[in-house]
Amino acid sequence: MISGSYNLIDGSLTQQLKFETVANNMANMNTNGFKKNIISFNEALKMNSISKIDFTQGPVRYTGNELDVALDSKGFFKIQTANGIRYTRDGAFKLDETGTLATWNGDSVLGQNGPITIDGSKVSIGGDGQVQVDGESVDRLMVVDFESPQLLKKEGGSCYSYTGEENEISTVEDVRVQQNYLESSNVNSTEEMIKMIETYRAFESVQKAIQSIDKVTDKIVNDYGLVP
Amino acid sequence: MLRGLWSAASGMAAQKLTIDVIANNLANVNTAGFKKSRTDFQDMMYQTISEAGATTETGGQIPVGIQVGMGTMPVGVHKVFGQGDFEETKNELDLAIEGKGFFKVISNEEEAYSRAGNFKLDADRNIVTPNGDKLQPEMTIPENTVSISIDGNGTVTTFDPEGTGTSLGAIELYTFPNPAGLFSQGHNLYRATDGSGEGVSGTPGSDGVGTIIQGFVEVSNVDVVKEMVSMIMAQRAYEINSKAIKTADSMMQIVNNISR
Repeated sequence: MISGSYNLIDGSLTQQLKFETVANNMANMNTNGFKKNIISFNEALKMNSISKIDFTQGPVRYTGNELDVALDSKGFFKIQTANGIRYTRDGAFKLDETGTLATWNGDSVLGQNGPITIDGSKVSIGGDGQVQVDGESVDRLMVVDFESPQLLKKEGGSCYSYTGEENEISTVEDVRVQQNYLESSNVNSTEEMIKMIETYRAFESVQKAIQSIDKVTDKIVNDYGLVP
Repeated sequence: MLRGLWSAASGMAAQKLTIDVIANNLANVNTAGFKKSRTDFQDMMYQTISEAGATTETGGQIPVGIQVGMGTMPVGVHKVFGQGDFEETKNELDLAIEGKGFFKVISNEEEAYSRAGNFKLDADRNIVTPNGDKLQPEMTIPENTVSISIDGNGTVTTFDPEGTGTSLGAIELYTFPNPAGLFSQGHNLYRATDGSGEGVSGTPGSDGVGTIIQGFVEVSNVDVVKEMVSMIMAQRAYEINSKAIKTADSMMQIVNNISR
């Protein structure tokens, strides 16, 4: 067998990975605070690919819900889950049955002094993340950033975990928080569509290449040996 | 290939849910006291193919890992309890709440809460909802009443033909720690759940429960333009996910055609 076909199989597997990434981005087109993944290759048609999370700002849209907050700057909200501290950009919060600010998974959103309890009727969240209930300051939303954001791992449920060192996590001072707004997904449908077509055609060429190799092999095996 | 196929399928299912919710919002655009719903999504779990920071065969470090996502999932369809507009009806038993409170009624012998204040009188002159559920605390309007006055604090006063007023007590309003966790039972009624917490009673006009306005009803808080925009977004997202499924299908066909 000609060794070329193994390279090609590698290539088709990479294209497959790229397609799966595109499909996941497309599925999360309307997921709040979603950040798309981008697959790139070190060498054409080699399995040495890397998948980067693109942390560019997603569009911010008005919802009118006072517990919706959008981060219009870098950084992540810090949340306390059953598995430890996690980070998210999804600012669609709610109150749990005890009146604590939580995500839709029920995990507490952390302020500078731990979980934030809201007891009152009017909640206002300032541009710097200051949470006020009925005009009284309660706490400030904890917004953190990372020295090496590539070490953030997506966990699903709009959460990230940080796999780096604790001392690489710093509080963002210059935050812009918008109450009544949500950050939409940063997936661009045109871009994903083009990537999908690209992937599809690359996959198709791999098939054609495998078929040509097969034809060549066929010639070697069946025609060369024939005595005219 | 199947991973991508399932991601796209989850995307389609999610957008279908959004359309279902929007359709219900639009259907209730003229329902008194109706609160619109919203769907919220999160990404599903990820499959880690290579871990960032792991050591490579050559002793280096992988700078960026590879994670492939499994699509999207709905995490909640919840009510958005923004204030609806007020419509003047001049009907003395139409009550609108300006604020966060809910009326409490007894429906099928169970406590339920409502924002719809289009009350009526039943044959026994009790104040009831259009479905006949009694407003709490129960109030019976005396015979030969010519007018009913309900002030901002919920105090109900009836007047007989001579103009003598009788106070019947006050309507109480209830608030919840997490109103988005209320269970919608239809007929404009909500039920308290473990997620919403227990209803806390308060006097209208104080305790942060809002004030009562007589002669008005609160109309639905559905904004048709916004719903239309959301519908377009959902439909296009549905479409693009269906394209991904089609592509996945063609790619599998290519694989099948490699050897003929």
